[in-house]
Amino acid sequence: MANTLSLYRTVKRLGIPDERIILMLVDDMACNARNKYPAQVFNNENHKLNLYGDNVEVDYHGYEVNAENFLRVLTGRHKAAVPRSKRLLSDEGSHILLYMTGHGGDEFLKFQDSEELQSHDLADAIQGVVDNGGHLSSCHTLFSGVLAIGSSMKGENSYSHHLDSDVGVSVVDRFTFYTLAFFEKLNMYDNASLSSQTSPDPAGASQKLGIFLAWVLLSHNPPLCFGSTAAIQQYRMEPKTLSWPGILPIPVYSTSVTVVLQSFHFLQSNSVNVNCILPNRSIPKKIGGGMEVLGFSPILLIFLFYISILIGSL
Amino acid sequence: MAILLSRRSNLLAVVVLLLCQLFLYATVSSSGSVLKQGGGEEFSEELLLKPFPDRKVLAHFHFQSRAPHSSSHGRHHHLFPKAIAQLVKKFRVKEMELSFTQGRWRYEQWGGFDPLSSNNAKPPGVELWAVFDVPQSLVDVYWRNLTHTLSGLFCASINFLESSTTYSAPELTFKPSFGNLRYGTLPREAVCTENLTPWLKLLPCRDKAGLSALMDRPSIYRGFYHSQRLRLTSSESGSDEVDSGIGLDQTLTVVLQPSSWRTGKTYSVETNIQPSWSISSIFGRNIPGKCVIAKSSNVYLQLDNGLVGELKNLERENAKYVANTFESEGFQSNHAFKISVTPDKVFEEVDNLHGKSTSVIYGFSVEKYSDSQPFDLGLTWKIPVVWSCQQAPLHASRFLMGSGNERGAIAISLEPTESSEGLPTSHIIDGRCELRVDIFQVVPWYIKVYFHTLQVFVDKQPRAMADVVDKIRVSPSKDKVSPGVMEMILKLPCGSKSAAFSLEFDKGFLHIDEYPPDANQGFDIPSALISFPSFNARMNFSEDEFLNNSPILSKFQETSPVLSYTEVLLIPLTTPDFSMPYNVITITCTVFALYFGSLLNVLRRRVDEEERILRSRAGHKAGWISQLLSRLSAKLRGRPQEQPTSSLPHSFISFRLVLKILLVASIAVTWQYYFG
Repeated sequence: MANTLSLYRTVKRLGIPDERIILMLVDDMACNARNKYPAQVFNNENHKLNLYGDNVEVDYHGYEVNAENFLRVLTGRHKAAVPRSKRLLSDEGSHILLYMTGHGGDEFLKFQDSEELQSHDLADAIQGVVDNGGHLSSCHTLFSGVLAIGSSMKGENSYSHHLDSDVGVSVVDRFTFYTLAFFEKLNMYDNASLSSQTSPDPAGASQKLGIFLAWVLLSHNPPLCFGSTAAIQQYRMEPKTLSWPGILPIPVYSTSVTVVLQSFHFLQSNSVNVNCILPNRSIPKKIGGGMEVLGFSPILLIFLFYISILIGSL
Repeated sequence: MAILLSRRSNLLAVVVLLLCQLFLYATVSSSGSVLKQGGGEEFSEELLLKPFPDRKVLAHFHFQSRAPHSSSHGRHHHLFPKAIAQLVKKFRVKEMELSFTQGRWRYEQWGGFDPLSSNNAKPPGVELWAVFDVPQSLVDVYWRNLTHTLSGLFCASINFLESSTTYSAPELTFKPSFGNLRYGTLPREAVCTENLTPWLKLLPCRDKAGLSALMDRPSIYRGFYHSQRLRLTSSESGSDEVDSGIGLDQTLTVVLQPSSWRTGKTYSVETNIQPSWSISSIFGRNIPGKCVIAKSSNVYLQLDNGLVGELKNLERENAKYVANTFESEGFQSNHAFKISVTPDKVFEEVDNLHGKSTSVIYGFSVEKYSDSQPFDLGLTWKIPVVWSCQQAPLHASRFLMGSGNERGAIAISLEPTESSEGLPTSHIIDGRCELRVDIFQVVPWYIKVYFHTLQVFVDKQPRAMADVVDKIRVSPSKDKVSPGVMEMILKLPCGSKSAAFSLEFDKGFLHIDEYPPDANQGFDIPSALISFPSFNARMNFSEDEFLNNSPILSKFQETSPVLSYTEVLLIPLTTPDFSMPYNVITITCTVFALYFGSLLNVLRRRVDEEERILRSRAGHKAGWISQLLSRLSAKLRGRPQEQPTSSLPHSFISFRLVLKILLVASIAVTWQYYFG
């Protein structure tokens, strides 16, 4: 939570007002009965800076921070009665900064310990935001208008920076720590830009994010959206879902098809010739045993599956 | 000549300009005075401090804003928050109260009879009730929209009150409203700085000047109880009342413990002495003068009647001649305590019905203080004093009975407090002496209460319902639609010492989507409201026109019943194994993978492929057409023989192959049949 609040405070300090910030905090840590310092959240062991401050406005907190509300905020599809302070209200010309922190994994982000947001859902939502951002020139559309930076590469872990033994928890992670260190040197009138890369940084990604954020914040005046939900993992705009033909509706969840494919992979390694199953593999010419019928394409395999289900259900 | 003329024209122009300025100034000042006197918007701020017997201090902020009716004065406000005026107009709110509370009000130590406790001791979490001025069929729609707007305005999850399972429509408990009142509460809502920030932004001086500048957030949230409350009343211009228009009362009640290190006292020999405190020691700040646009800005220090009585007793016991007694004018020094600032006014409560001592309120005006000379009030105790606050006639508590995940019982017990020993005889109604108790309880639908199992015990003896219950209104719960509401009016005989009720329930099941993320913590039953309408929580003061201008003191003089809230109950419900969907998916997919895998394994694995290729090459010289034909026939026959030179074990292996295939296929079919 200190991560999100640090960035919130930085963004407010650099001139973005509360009306243009949506802050989603899951836990009530500041006023929790177990917090030794009530109404105070620190991001450093020295406890110099109270991030919670006097003027924090949290738009979504507690049970309201879930994947559904998050996607509603990004896509702008709310119920009619939802007030303006909870809506993103973006249009063409908006620049949106999305900061998410928490736990997650390979191609998913975790909400509230009970649900996950898949990377392709997030990608679709962000694509929707970008599409509403309208009339960009052709060279911009190639880049899809989205710059994403993660605190760790796929397969890496993201670590916390240091532990505060007074409070008993780690207060900030390395990515945010170095990002904030970059920002504390700036004020509202600075002109930092993406192309300026000054000193060798202990965490290259955070430096880049810092510069990107500086560009976004200082050169434009964007509405921003923060979250305290899941870890930043590097996701791609076209996440690698399975390349099943999709001609027939497959009545299984996508995770199960992954499992099935993975098990085929396992079988293949046991010198079973299953080349013909995957569509981009070459089909061997000599096939014996009369199993060419089954071996030719995955579509027929799915047909078989269906037929077995039909037979079973009769 | 030309130069003279131009000079004269210059002079003329200057004179005209001056006249214009004077004229403008005159109009501005006159309009300003009109606004001040007759314009109608008023704001006043007050702070009441009160020591408690358990070494704690109560700080109660009261901000009052009044705006006249908009049709007579237009839609512009200069003091009144526009957000509230728009809310009242859009949702046709006649009366509304919203409170955010964290902590439990300890009735035993902090009292339950005085108007401060009755009005400001609120249940934990969020409590909202509102009366609308719309036809009864539209009240629910307006309530829903109101909850959403308030959740955006106060950064809280009040929008959870929109679903019909959370709110109810009581009729007997609050004043009669002909079905237009809705009541909802969220017991688990956390209250923090983000709720206080927009609340303070409704004040004209925000938290920058006046009494609200005292609100140091860590000090407030370190308290044992804090509750911020917003009370809104609006009356139509049709009525001829003096105070028609919109009235907004914002109060913040905090119970703090003065810490000894802040006062600078290193060691107190007598640890029985109450801790000395001052505004700067409990808040860390002083009052930097009043809010300039406030009509009045006062600080009060209240010594409640228990304390005053105890001090008088101590004086009487103290045989030594004391120069300045408590009742004399020398308030600065006293044998028991010392106040650091001389009070501007002293109010003494009169005509207390109970015949005990009366409470005393010292009033201090903040008008003459400023930034350079801030106001700081301190109270230093000299001798140990022990007293107790006056409590409600019966102390209400609520608890759960039973164990297990199927059923249980809710019990409410009303125990006597020491103030109930001398019940006045003025409660004789129809020749019988009765104590009237009203109970209002809302139970969520998944706690299925059986109202026929309601049992009443008076003085630990079971009684028939008709003896004790005068009126009962029950709205049974409907699954996933509405909660169970119970409103009871009881008439207990005067001599009764205690009363108790029990109500049995069954625990219901929720759909997996309805469980909150922390379902294993349990589910809350909101506080029940117990009121004693025959007792008035009010304080009478001697007639003083100053009192009408002071919001806190005029509020004390209002007639209101004695209220108390019970505890929130936490019920563990049966929770499903939330990892089951994941488990089912992985098991099913593993089975399918094994099925397909073994099927394909069986079908596609080629044993002795190289040998076959060699043999086919060898047999190719014989004639490939005949080879093809023989192969085709072999396939049609079910592939028992592949080569003319195949040996018997080979065909045996093929037969086994076929058997295996059939076995796997039949297993798959039976699986689909039974589990599909």
